[in-house]
Amino acid sequence: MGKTIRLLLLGVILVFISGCEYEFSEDSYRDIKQEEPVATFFLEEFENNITLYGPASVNYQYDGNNKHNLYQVNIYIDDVQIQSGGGESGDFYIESDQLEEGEHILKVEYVFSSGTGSLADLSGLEAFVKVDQYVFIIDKSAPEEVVLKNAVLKDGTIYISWEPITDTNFEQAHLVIKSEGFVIDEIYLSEEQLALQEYNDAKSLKHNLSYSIRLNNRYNESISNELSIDTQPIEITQEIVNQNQYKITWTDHPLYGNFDYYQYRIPIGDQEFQLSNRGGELIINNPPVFGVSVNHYFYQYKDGYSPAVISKELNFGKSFEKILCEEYIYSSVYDAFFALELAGDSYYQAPREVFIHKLDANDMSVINSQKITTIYDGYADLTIDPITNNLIVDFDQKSYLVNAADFSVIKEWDATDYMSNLDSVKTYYRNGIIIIEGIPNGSSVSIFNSDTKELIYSEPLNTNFGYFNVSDDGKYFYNDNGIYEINANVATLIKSTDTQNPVQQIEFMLDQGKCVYSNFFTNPVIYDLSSNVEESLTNVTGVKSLNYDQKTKKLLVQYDVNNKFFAFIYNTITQDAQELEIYNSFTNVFYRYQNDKLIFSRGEYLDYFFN
Amino acid sequence: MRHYFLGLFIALSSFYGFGQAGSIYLEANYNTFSHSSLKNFQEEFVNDIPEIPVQVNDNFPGNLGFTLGYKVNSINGSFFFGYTTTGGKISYSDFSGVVRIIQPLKGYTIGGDYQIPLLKDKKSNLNLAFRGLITLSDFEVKTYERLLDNFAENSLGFRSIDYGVGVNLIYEYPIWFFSLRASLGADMVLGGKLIFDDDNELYLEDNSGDKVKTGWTGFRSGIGVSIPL
Repeated sequence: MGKTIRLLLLGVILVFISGCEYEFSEDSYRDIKQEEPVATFFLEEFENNITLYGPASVNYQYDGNNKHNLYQVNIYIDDVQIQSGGGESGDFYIESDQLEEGEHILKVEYVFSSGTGSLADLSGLEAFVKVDQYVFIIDKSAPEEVVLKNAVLKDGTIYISWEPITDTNFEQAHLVIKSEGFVIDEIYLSEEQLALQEYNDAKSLKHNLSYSIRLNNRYNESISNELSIDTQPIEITQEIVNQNQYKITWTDHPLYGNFDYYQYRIPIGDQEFQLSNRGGELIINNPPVFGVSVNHYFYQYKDGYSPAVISKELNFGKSFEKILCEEYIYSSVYDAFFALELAGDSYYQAPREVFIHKLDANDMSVINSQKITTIYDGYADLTIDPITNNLIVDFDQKSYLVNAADFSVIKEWDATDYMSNLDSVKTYYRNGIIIIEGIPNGSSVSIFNSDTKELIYSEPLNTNFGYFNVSDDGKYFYNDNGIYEINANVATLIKSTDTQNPVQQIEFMLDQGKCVYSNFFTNPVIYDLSSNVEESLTNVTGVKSLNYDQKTKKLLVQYDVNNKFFAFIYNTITQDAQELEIYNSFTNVFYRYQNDKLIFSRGEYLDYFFN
Repeated sequence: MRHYFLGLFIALSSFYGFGQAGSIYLEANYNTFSHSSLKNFQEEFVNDIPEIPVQVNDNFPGNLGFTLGYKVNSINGSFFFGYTTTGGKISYSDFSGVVRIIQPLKGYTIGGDYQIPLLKDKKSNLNLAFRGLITLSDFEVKTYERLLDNFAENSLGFRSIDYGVGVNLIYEYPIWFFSLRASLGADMVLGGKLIFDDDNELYLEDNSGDKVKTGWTGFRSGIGVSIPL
């Protein structure tokens, strides 16, 4: 039994100590000291408090000093992340466009390995975070304004100078050129040009130029003071030389230094001329046409090409204001023109206001105007009463005698007092007679004593042409191939005219006791009312109208040949004649020769050439 | 391993039952080893992770063990069972973590010897023993890593059968009912290939492709008691 126990005990001991293991030593331990990291982060061309004037691209470079590996770089502007990445070098962009002016904070946050060599470091789990902070300033202000010193016009070209420019906060400089207040050019000025402090504007050709210099940077701009050079456009005039030639004259161009010459082509034809930019004159062998404007083009040439053209539309006559009146008559007594105007629409029975204007004898400007009545049809005519020197205004059924001095209506005659069944008539008062033309249905003329209403004459108008006219003093009239004289309420035929070519126009030259009449197909005839002597103007046919200027005794014969229209001015005393081509395309324009002026109802008169 | 021990125990007790005259002895041993292959193998671990400065903490030093045997008087021989253990360790740690590889090595030996008496008198006797043995080596490679809050462990086990011979001097001095025993000698053990526990087809090799083997060869010393039965 004892042995058994000993064996069992032995067994227990064996089990116990067989399980013993070798006792291992402690783990090796390395005491790692925390050291300050030696990694650095460098920004190229960027330092604290730098001022930026536009977007900037900043290069960065990380240096781990062989100890720290870079894990991540985060860039913040004003605590807003703008970029993140892992590369040791790279760049980021400062978008100044989206940042306000003033200070901003740039933070560069970089995360790198601790470099301690610990197990965590070797496994990439141990890192430092370092933040470098910078202040930068965004400047969006405008560059300082340039100060212009001087703008001079010298030798036909312009020089502009300015004070030295010290501010560099701009990207572009432009010389802004204006003409008459509107920008015509912007010249880019380089740095070299700005440094010269003077610029020669050898290009501008317009007038009233003004100059300023504008500086632009990305966000703003400034403009210098403005200097101007006052120049006027050249004057171009044209003048009739003779029936086949006219002359143009032009003045010296103030900017003659900026171009070489004008190239001019005559308005009709192909001939071209090189004209001096210092002024001059040129005879043009085209017939001048009064009433037609001529367009002249002076192409300015410089270095063989034309950058600009001066164009001018010129008339041969002078303009006046009261156009498209019904009549223009000159009165020697008042030394003035009188014009009759109907103002209103032209549709059937539209109201028209009747105005009389007194116009200056020389330049036909308005001296006085007066409305005398309103009518409802389109007929009105003006005559000067040679007896009283007042104005007679004829309408359809009325005739007025108007005071020429104050335009008051002296007297009115009404056709209905003399006849009934009035139907599209014209009523004339002439020195004690009343004429009613065009009744019935436009086919007869009746003449009454204006006071007694006694009928003096009543006959049909010519069936062919139906033309009627009466002298201003009421003593003579034409009707149906006959010239009549009225004496003591009796109308007597004194001259029979050609029935084959009935009279289409007649003018009574009362101061000479003559009249002149014409037909389109025949020569005009000057007829002495007392002596019966006739005189033909043999070099004129195709007559459209006649007008007698009592002041100069000149007769205007307006004729048409081969679709060209002419004014033939015949001096009834000297028998000299001159003619000039005129414009005549519309029926509601007309010509008159009064006070030695050829007057075109479209607002132009010619006071030389025929004089 | 326990199976072997149990088998041995049964064998010894059967000897006892056999009733042969003999004595049972128990020794506490101090042994030294060469284990050059294992040392080299451990060194390779160090070189395999150059970025971590691991150090060799334990390099299969000599260690204590014990031997239990039964001497059969009639044949001048004994059968014994021995156990010894050593180990290797490499490690590195810092504030952030630990890396260690522990290689505990256990040897379970059974053997027998034949003794030639050198000196014999009434009291003490000195014998020269020639012995043969088989050692079952139990080798583990245990890795442990901790990094911050995460850790990982891994363990691989290997076994080998090593054959050896030895010679030692045994001195016994009787006291009371037992004898004091001291032994001194050396063994030469040939290590076998270390076969992987989980797959008997695989055995441990070092980086050069050579088989890794134990090296139990070394000096043996022991002090113990012997109780005649």
